[in-house]
Amino acid sequence: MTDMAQSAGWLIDNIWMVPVYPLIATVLIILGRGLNLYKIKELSMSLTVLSTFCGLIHALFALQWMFGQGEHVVPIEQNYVWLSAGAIQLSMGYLLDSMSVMMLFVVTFVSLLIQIYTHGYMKHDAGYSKFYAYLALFNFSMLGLVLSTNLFQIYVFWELVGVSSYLLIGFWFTRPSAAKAAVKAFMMNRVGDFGFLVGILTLVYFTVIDGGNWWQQHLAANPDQAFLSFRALGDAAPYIMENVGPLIFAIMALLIFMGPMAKSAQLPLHTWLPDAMEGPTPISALIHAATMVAAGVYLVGRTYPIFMESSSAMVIVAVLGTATALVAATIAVTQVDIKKALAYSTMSQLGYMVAAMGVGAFSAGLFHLFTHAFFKAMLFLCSGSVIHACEDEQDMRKMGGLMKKLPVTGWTYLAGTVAISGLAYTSGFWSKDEILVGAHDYSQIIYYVLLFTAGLTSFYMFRTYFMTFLGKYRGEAHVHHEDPVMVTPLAILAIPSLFIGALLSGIVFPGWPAFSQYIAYHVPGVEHAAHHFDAFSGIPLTSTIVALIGLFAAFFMYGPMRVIDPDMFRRLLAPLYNLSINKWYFDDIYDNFVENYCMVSAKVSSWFDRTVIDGLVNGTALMVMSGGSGMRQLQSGKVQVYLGALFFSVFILSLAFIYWLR
Amino acid sequence: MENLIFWVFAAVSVLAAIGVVFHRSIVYSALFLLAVFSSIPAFFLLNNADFLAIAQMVVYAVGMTIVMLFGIMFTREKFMEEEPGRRQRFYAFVLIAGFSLALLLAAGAFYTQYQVVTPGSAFIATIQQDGSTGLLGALIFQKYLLPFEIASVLLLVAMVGAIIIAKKSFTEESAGLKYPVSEKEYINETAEGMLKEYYEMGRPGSKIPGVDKAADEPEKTDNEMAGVQ
Amino acid sequence: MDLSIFNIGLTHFIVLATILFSIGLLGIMTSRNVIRVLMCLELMMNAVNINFVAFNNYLNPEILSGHVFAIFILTVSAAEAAVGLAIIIALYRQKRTVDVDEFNLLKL
Repeated sequence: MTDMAQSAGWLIDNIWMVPVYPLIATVLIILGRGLNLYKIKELSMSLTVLSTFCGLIHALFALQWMFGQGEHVVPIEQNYVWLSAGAIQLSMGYLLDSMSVMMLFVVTFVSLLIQIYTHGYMKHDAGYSKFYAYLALFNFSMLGLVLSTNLFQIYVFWELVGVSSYLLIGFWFTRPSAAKAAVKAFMMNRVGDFGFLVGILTLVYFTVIDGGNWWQQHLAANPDQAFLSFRALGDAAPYIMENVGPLIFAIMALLIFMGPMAKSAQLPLHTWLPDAMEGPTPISALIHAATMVAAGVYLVGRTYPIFMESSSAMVIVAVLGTATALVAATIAVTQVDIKKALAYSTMSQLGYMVAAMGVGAFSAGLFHLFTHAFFKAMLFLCSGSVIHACEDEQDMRKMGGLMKKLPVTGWTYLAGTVAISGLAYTSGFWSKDEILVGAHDYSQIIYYVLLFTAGLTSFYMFRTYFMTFLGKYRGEAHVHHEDPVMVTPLAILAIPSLFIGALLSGIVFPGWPAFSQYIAYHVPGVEHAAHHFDAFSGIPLTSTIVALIGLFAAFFMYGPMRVIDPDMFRRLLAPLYNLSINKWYFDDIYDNFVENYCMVSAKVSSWFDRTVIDGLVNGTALMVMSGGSGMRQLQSGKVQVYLGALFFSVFILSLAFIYWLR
Repeated sequence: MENLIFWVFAAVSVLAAIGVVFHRSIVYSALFLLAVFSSIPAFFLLNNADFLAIAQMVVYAVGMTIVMLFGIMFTREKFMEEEPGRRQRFYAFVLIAGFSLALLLAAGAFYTQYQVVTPGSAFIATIQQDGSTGLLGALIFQKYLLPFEIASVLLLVAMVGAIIIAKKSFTEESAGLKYPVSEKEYINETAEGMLKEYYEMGRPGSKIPGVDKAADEPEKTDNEMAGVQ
Repeated sequence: MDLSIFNIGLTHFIVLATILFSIGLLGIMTSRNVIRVLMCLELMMNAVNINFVAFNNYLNPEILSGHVFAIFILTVSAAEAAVGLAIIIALYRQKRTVDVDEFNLLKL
């Protein structure tokens, strides 16, 4: 037992190795490819899976460590200063607290299963090893992000995550749509990341340059924290608020929120996420459903003291999240591409989480992140299995009746659908209803919008289920059988999808630790904001009823019986239908904007660059060249010419001499 | 009397100097130079520089002119010099005119009021009796001893250097390692010829006996090399 | 008619030296024969010598420093002439000419 405790302690102390394993795997795979070492391509898969598995072991022991401490987890923070410039000391390190442990577990667990699944999905792809290298690279970035101690470190990994996302979206870069989607995702994230960086710098400005070097005193009092450390934000935020006033502070908070806005696909910057489905399906499951897009919510959680300080920023966050949830849900209703529908569903759920953050239901938002990661990853993997079986067909109108051919996929998809709809005490039920309770306490409008969205969620998710798995098969492609390598992770993921919510809710099993209690204590200064959630009170009941209405609506419209013709609604609600099918015209507006304004200014800048700047540069070069060739004529090598120049200068000098010295 | 001497010799020297520059024949130029050098000691004598006048006569008028003539004889390609380009001459005239003007102006500007000093009677007596040689000797060997020694070293170095430079070339032949070469091959033994040979034929000009095949048959080598050049 | 200009003084020697110097310079600039260039150089040296001696005699007659300088210039010009002629001969072996315009080895 002591050995066990010792090794557990060692694993905890060296938690920084969790991101390092995948980095090693990446480097090995890339170098191995270069040296042509991997004749057996499964070796790269094994390396990646092994690295993630080691991380999972660390994460499990970290979980044990966390639960062993009871409700008051004392965080472990280690920092290494790598750049010191006066008051600014940038550091790298790891922060181990309940939030990072939870994320660590989710990321390693889901990654591991998806990496195993990928072997089945990408078996015949030419870029098999490359894909695993990218996966490991992503794992490195994501785990580094999770363990970050300060804003600058998280920014570094934030960008790395963006890069791996870009690489993986554009994995099939020979397809123009994939390349375009990758660039689009990158550009959209640039916009957000720029705001995020400006926000960080604003924070630095108000604490270092304009703030009397607040960090020096703070770090002297708290030696284990670092410059821009998350744990210090609880003290820093009131200080800044006092100095700059609420308006500037809210702007700073919203600038920081721009990062999550892009990464978590919130409303103005969301258009990249549906297009990102051009990437291979495991990527959609891992990055664009379970982990990376949740990083935005995670960042909001990390910087929560800042948002807590500014109620106006919180309102904007809540409204944006709610709007995203509603808009995405309405778009998802009309999607016929199974992956696109799931992508909008992801966006909607992310809106839920952000809204939860905005309304102050901190732990509920992160709880939803936690449960959502499992069932959404599973849903995507199911869709991947379906697409694989139908020979790369993604259109749900050409599917149907796949339950017989793909029983495991069908059942797990059903489990995921039930979970995301929040039915019958599945995971989604607990997390989503906690959010609804929080919203109910905060604002009635947000509550009702979210409730309506819950009904829509149930409707469109069951719609996809019915269209894909029930009824008659409508496609031409020959349906293959399920691949056991792909189905096993699905079955494993189904378990947490259904039950982990109840497990950590703190209500069904009173002896078990409750998620809300552990996470709520994470932020110093944030009081235990757990809402008095009662599974049998009015709000969960209402939401369940709404979800059931959605389910029955979907059943009647798209179920095997087809009681109601969907076309009728399409005609009845033509304006709404158009709005939904055109994705609320966001893409068109952006295209228009880019076409009319950005392109014009880009052309002007380009013209300026080509004529003025290049003209200056080339002119200088031309001047030097012509001057050189002119001077070259002087170097005739004739002594008498040189002598003439010498005496001519003596002549000039003697004239000057006479003039000045007389 | 002094005025007459000055004006006569001044006219001679200026006219002769013009002859040096403008006479078409280089040999005549040298003779004009001899005339200049011969008239300049008169000015020295007018300035009480008797030793310098003799030295001038010996070094310049005799030594230098003869060296020049030797130089002319060595470069005996053409005795007649071609007409210089008109343009070049025009510019030179302009330049020289300007420069002379500048010098005259300088002289006028600075030395209009010379503080002309009349020497003491004792000094005049010494000069008239013994000449300036003794005084000059005292000055050179006392005050200006070190510069004088340096000047003598300079002369020595110049002499050795001139011999080295003007010598045919520094090859095995000059070091006594090789038999004398024919005059036709003489050009090939210069540095440029050696370099050319090195780059074009891929082997150095010097031949090591016993190793180089050509060195074993010396007479043939000569002909070959002459043929190559 | 005032003939006092014919009474020689320091200025006469200076002007004479200037004229000789300028003629020498002209020769250097215009000659194509390198030996003539050398001759003109000697001419300029002599002009300088006249200056030294004349200044010494008129401004500071009791100390013969000007004469010493003239002797040094004489030495240097002798050395220069010797080395210069040696160089000309060496060049002549290379180029088979004494035309200054052909001696443009300074130009790469």
